[in-house]
Amino acid sequence: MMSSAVVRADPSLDPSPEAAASPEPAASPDPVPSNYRSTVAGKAKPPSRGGGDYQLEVGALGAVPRADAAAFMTLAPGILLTNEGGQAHAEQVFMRGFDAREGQDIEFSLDGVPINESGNLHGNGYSDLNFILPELVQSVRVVEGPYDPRQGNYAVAGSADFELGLASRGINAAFSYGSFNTKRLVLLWGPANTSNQTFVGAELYQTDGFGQNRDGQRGSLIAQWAAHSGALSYRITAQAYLASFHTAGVIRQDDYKSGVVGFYGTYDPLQGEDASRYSVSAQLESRHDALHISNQLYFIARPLRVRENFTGFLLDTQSPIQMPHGQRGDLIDLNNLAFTFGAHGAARYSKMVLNRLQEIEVGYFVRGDFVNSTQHRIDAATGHPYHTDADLQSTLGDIGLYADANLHPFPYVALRGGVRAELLTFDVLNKCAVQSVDNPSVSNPPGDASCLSQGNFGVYRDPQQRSSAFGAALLPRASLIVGPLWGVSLMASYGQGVRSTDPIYVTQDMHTPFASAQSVDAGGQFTRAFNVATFEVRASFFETRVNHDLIFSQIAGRNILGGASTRQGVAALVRLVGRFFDVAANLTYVRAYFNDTALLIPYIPAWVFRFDGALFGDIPIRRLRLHGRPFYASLAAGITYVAPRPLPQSQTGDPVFTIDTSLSIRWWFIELGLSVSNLLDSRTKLGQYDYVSDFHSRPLPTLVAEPEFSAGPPRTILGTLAVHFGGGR
Amino acid sequence: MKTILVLVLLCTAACSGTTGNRAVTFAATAHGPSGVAAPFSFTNALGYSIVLDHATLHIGAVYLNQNVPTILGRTGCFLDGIYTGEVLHSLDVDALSASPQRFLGLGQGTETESHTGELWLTGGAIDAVEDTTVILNLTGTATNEAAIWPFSAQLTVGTNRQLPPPDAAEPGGSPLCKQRVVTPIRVDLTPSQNGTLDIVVDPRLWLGIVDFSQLPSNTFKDGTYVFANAGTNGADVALFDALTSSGAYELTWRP
Repeated sequence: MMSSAVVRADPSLDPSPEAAASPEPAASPDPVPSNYRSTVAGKAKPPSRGGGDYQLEVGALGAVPRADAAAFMTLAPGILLTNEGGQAHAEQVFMRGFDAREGQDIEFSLDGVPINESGNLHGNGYSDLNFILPELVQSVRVVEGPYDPRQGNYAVAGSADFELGLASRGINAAFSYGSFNTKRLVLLWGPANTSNQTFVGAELYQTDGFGQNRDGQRGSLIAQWAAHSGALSYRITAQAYLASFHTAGVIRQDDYKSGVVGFYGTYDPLQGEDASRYSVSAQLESRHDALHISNQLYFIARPLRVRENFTGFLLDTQSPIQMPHGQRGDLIDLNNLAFTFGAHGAARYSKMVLNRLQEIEVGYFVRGDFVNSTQHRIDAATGHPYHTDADLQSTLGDIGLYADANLHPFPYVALRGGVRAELLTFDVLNKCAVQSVDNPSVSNPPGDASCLSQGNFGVYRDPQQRSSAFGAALLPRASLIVGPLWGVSLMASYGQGVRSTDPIYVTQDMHTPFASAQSVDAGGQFTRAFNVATFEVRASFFETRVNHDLIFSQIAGRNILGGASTRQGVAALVRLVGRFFDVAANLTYVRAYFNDTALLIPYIPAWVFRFDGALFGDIPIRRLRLHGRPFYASLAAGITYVAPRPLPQSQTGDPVFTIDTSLSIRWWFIELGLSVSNLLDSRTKLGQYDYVSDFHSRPLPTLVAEPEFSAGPPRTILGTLAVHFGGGR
Repeated sequence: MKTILVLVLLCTAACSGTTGNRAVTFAATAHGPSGVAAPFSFTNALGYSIVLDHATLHIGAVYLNQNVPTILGRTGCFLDGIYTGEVLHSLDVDALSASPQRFLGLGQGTETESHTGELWLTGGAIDAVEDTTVILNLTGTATNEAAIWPFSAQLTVGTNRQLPPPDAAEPGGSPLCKQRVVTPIRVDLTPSQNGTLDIVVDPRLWLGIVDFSQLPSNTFKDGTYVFANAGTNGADVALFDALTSSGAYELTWRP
């Protein structure tokens, strides 16, 4: 059995016309009877954009235990995932020096369908990947930097596009049970005689959760049908996802040290999250001689409710117009309902010139978001809302056009790039535009109402106010790739990216998009296929400058504006794939600082290391056969090390070091598996913060910033029984 | 290999830098003015010769803030700016002793320039309706040409100090917490690790404009005039106003 090529070959690195004209990798046989098995590519990949472009096949490394689909991103260098809000909450992603929060600085997509939620009040660009079944992730393209003209809004740090596929055909059913009364049922169906891109996958998950207040459940279903007829190929995808979890939230370090609250404890059991997502998309591709045309339409509905308490009893200060009150509690109840319609497409023309393939592509991206969002504060004693922080109705538009060239002017030289034009529009109705008044009416006092209808001296004004703005950006992007010569390629890239502004900051006729980034990347790559293994090593230096950073404020409960910043560093990756092994490791160093003060940007880890490895194959002992069928085993491990992160006030957080491992044995149609996450049972402070909070753990308010953390999971053991029918082997 | 390791470690230290404004812990002390001792004699602005036999002040907590509030009347219980230091331990300060008296626990803060200090004169929650903790405990004698007023004061801050709202439109305009917080005390200091926040309490200023003749005769019990602890006469109001105004306190930093 041979594992498929795990680092997807970039055809453009081979300057021959044949290679360039056949960008689709060949399908490989299914090698790994794992729950996370998914190996075979099924569609053309865009050409590499240099050292920051990681087109990663999951391959046998799918056997490494991962909490969710987002964790596949850690196969690329410089990725750290943390979570402040539990299993229904989007992962906070650190990418190469960016605290991309839950998506503000990374463009996420699933087979081309955007995941970033424009206008989400919790964070513009919020990207919840929990609806993606890990078993269906075939590959991930992580572009660290804005180097591809196809990258649109939010691609400031970069982008990540997940590709779905199911290599294991037939029916696969797996049931897992383990720590914290966790139960997981996964059903996968890949109809015979269809491509890997036709499948149905479903998951039901329930857990009591570790520690306090982390129980919950979710269900997810993704169905996709792909076919082709002559020069036309189609793909239709439907998806539904429901999740409801409680959340423990953050813990003050001093309270944990003094025993006021446990490491896995909680201050506020009302915290939690209810999330759902429904989407359909359809893609049509056609080839007419040298012209390749693709179009995709999609519709997404996304309800989200987040209940978080970052600060305890701090923010409910007495306003003169309010009735006298004490601190009623800072629990945020954030609701966001978004409907997204969109389409994107491209036409690529290929022609042999200078005896080498030259390509020109033009494309478009259209997206409309219709978002209603509210944020209330909840009284800890009664559970009733007592204040409205925000009530927004936003209509957001995004049109992007790009032109991209893939030229080979000389042998072994590829020049790629072009320009992207992005037009962003904002129409925001603030239904709670007036929240305070300096000189209220004595005869008609505003009282405790949150959204006021009077200005100074009681003059009437409507509490609603509409603001509209638009902005455009022209974003050049280019990459130069020289090679491969004796397996060595040299690469350099330049690009600009943008992030649209949060609707809450939109004022009439403001200049948008709000933030832009300039990024450069230079590096080299060595790839060689030996008899026993394929080897790849790559390293690149990078620098990114951003004119306006967004920093998450636990006080505000959302992102707030920061200053200009710079990231500089180096990233390296190694991958070795053989007949019975698959090993990958990456290491990143980055220095991220504010330009005006040269002070470090808090929370950004300087060093991130990740190792993934898997051994797999038939057990080579003839006696170990039953009814003539061999036993197939897989042993996998993942190791993460994150250096202590700089926290505000020149403090440093704790390092993160975790080992996850799994073992599975399959005979014929039955598979038994055991996975252990956090093997060393280390107490990991996954999310580390520093800000002011007051959880009434002292008689008097704590008003100076104090380190806080969200706990990572302790050792978690899951046993799995799986059966496979109808897929061969 | 060893060289690479050394380079990596050096770079980790040298390239990393800081995020600024170091977190610090510090001690805090409080005492009376230099040279003070019981009994303490002085003359106030109204010509009373006062001899203080006993003067203690209960400090519930101390805070430092980066900002100077511009419109104090609009702030709630907390200042708007960033708090740069806090001492969350109480101390009953003998204001008639010049020896520094240490708060029983350390304060914490950040190495940030601070411009406002706050003394929280409370025995419990800052917005509690009632608090029976005696904040100020005084005994002494005031004399002028006309008479002698042996006096004592045990002041608390509860509903007895609740002010009515300024008008109907601002029912929350006079929160009780404002009666308990002495702010803004102008300071110019930067907390540093292992330094000491030193608080000087000057009892002369508490009694600086107290007109003892306004003490009603019905407060005279057991040979002593007792301050009403309710703001019902001019002397009591003057004492409480002076107690909660920033002039009687000085906050300095000893590295």
